[in-house]
Amino acid sequence: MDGDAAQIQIRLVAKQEKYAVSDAPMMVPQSVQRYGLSEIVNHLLGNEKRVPFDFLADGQFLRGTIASYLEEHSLSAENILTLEYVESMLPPTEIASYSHDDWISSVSASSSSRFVVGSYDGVVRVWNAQSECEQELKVHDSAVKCVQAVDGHKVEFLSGSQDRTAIAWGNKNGQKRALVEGVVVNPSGTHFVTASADATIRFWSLAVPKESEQVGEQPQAKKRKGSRMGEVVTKAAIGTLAGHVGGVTCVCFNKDQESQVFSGGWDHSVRAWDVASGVNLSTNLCDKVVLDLDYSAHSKLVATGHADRSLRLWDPRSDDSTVVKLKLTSHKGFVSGVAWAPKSAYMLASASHDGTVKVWDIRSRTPLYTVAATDAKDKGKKLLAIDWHNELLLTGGESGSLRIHSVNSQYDQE
Amino acid sequence: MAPAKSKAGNSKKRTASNRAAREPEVRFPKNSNIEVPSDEEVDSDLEEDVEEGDFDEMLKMMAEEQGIDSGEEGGEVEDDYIAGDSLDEEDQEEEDGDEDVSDSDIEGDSEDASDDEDDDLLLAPSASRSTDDLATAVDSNSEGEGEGEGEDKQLTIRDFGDDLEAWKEYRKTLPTIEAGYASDSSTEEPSNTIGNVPIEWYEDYPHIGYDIDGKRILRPATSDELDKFLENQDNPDVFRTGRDEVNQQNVKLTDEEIDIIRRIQGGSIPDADFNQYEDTVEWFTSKTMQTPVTGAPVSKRGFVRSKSCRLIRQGKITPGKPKQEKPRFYDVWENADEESADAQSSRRPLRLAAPRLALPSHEESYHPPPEYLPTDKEREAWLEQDPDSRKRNFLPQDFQNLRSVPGYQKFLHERFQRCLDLYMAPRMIKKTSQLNAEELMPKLPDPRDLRPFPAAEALVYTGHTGRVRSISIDPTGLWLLSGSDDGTVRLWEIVTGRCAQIWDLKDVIHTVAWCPNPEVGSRVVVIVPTELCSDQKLLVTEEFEEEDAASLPVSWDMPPSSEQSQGIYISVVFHKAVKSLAWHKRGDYWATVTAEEGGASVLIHQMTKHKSQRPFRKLKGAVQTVKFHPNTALRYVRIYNLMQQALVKTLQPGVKWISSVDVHPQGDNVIVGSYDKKLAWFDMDLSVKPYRSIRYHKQAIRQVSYSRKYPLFATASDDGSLQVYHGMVYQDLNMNPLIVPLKILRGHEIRNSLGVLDCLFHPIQPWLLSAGADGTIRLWT
Repeated sequence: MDGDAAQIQIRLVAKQEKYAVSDAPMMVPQSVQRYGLSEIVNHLLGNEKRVPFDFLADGQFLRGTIASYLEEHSLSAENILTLEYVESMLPPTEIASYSHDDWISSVSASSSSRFVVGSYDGVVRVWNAQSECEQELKVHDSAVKCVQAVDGHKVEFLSGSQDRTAIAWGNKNGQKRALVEGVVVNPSGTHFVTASADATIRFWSLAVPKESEQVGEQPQAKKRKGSRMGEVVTKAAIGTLAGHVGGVTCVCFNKDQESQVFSGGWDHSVRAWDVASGVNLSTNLCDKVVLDLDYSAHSKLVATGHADRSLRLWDPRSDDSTVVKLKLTSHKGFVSGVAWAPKSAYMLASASHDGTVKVWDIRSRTPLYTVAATDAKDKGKKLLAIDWHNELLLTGGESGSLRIHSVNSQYDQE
Repeated sequence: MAPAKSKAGNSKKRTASNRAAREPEVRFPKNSNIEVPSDEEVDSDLEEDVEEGDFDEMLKMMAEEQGIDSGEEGGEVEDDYIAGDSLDEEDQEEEDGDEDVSDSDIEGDSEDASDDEDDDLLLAPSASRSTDDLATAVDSNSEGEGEGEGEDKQLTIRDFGDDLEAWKEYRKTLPTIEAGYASDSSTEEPSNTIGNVPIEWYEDYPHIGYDIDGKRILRPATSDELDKFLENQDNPDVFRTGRDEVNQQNVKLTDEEIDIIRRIQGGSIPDADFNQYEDTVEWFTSKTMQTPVTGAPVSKRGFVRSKSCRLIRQGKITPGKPKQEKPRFYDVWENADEESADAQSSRRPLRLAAPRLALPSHEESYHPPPEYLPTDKEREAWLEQDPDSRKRNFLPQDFQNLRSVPGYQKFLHERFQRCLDLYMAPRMIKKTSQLNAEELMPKLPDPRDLRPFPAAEALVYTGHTGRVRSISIDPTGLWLLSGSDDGTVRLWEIVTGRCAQIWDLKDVIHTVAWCPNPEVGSRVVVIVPTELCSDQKLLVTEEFEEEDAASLPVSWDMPPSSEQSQGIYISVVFHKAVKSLAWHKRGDYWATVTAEEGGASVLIHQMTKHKSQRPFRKLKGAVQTVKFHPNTALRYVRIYNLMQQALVKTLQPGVKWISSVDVHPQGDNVIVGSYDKKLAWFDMDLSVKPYRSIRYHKQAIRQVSYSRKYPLFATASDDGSLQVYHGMVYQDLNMNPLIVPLKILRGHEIRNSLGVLDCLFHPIQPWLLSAGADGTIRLWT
């Protein structure tokens, strides 16, 4: 260590027990950065194989030197600085890329080896990990806008289309009505909601009906569908949530409260609904079109992607005007998809029209990793869908290729 | 009382004794001096002295000198002191003078000594002097040691014995006496500093107080009552003598003082010189006012110049000017030139000085430096040049001396040219304006405060191969329709840029318009004029029955089944190319403009009845575009040849070639874009002239568009840029609309001198869509 360099006492703490070191303060130069601190921790742990660590000061990632952090927060170098360290996330590595003929509008992974892809050619494809297309389901008349896998249920997945239907696929298929923008299934897998461009959200049961229910308001559609797909049973919605002024682009269940649903749409609002009673619980406005939204059961936050190239994090529990906890800006195009990490309270990924996927840690204002397509074919093409399933990050878009990235799961805390 | 007299007595004795006995005697008076106040014996001794009459004699002598009664002790003391002073001078002379000391000298010396002793006790400054005279070093006296406590404080007195020489030597070391000081103090009263306390407090002490140096003032000798009585009998001045108790002295009043006392007793003014009955001097009465009312100095304003001074100032008198003799004969025309010049100068413009000729440079020298001399090539080039286009009208020449310089041939010619220049060329004073450019700028709000507005390119919709002439957005804001020169109409998903559908109509699409009524359903109108101008088609994606429109240049046809399967439900055939198309807000009526002169160019069609009408029988000029007013069923039609005829109002935009018109959603404002680069904003309540005319584009404006939801409007131009403005229309009718330029959006490429052909605001978002000649549609957010 340089003798004349300014030094500071730090205390290193870790939440992961396997990486815990003595919390005795130590002197380090103020010019040390993340790498130097990581080397120190590895040295203390006596690791043969270096494990990269990230360091958090007061809940925020340390970017740059300690001196710059102290200066930015106008802290004294006299005090002991407590640094929490966590194992760094490794950059996502691309595993596979499945090519489609047309644009991919939505992706969803039902398991680590089964991926459902909705495409603009109206075909729902099911891929397995061996890069084989297991199924090609051509039922929708028009572009499929959304797919959603269902865990552990006889209905395997749902798809929504511009032909105003949502179809539940499984052993027996059922279909729903509306120009469907988004479809999600509640965690217990008994009900699902659909978001529509007609500014409504509809609430459906997944229970397969014995016979087609009369859908009163749309006889034409029913007639048409019924004539073409004889085996498909038509269902009527249980309830309709009306309140959005513009089209609804995205909808999401609150994974903690099964009856609560979040939605966002063209009217710049993020709304919370109680589907059981059909009541609009809260409405938060942000002046920008909401293109996608996701709820994390770990951090209890709603992440939204916006047309102003930013992500916003909302705390639905707070009632005051400061519901927007954080605004993350780094994308250069519409943020078309957001997905929380399934096991982490901090990690989320976003897909954008600028063709990049960014992995964020909400303790840092800058993205951890930016993954851009490497193929010339995919380069700069819009990404439209993203899904994070366990260790896999699935993206699809204009280029028609479903790209699967692996994200190391060791990073997940708690 | 004792000390002075006892000393006097002692000195008397000493005169009798020889000189050798002098010093012990000197010691004695000191001791006696100290002991006297408390010792009765000294009193008796004193009385003996008095009996000797020695002292009295001396006092009398002094009193005679001074004119003071010697019996009075206060006066005696003073006289003593004065006498001592004079003796002291004698003493000095004696010292400096001869060695032989006469008797008188000694007498004087002794007197001196005794007086000095008195001085010592009464006046501190003379203390050291007394010791000098006595040839003894008495330190204690000079330090003001109290005689009362003197017994235990032994005075250091050097005994020189008979050693006169030693004494003299010692004397030399003593400080010299300042005669001036003593003479000054001779006039001083011995002042007692005890203050205003009863003198009875000092009755039991030998002193009566302290002088200014803190030394004791010993009580002067007092005579007994008999003496006083005798003295008073003898003294003629007894009536004017008083007693100063503090200083224990008798004070004799002077004649003046007695006179003052007499006056006071008589009740008159004490000052003898004061004249009580002086004449009054009248300074300030009603008659005289010798003192001013205020003390302020006289103002200059009040100063009135004399008449001659005024005349001098006015120039009527010139002092010292020699008197002019009047000539006998006058020159009548003497001032004729000047007068006429004066009269003319008032009418003439201001005389302008002739421009100065440039100073000669090195080139014009007869012997210029060699670098100024032209080379042969330059010379040839100069000679070949046209004389008018030459940079200079001569060639530098070199002469060895001035003598060999020939006469300048062109001198007269040049002088003539110069005169011509001065005579012919008009000159005028250039007036520079003092206006600051920033002051002329209107105060506009910061564009950042006017968000949201489209500021950046978000999406590019690519697919068209020809220039995109027209775009239209569906009322929900999800879909975009575009018509292009490549003969296709495309439907786009706005948010993703996905081309959802393509209709290939194999003809140039001039204009597309989406039916604005969302209740009717998705209805698209596409006008496809062919080259033959015969089979223009109207395509509607809804089913309608067909009716014939009679006596109009329009025919409503059901499209063939192949087109029906594409979603084309009806086609309306025009005989001329359709240039513009506008839907009414309710979605039933639509208007078209065809490339046709006269009233038949504008047609209004009703969708439900499949009928067409011709609203205008006569129109001057060709109609370029048509719009429906959003609230009322009025149409504002602009005619491209400056005239614009309407049912209600004619607007005069002051532009030559109107390209596009848009009506504000609230209906009272209209913007007009023109091919001559101007944008005109009309406030219809205000005037038929433009409220604001804006010319920012470098090329023709192709399209203007209001935002339906936000206070924004945009212009598209052939220079490849779009300009976004904030156009706030206030509900308050007294407030003029606020127009703020916000952003210039560049991105479209210019193809064949065509830039952006159409622009349109998103119906619910602050987004702008533009169609360009480069075959792209761009979304700006």
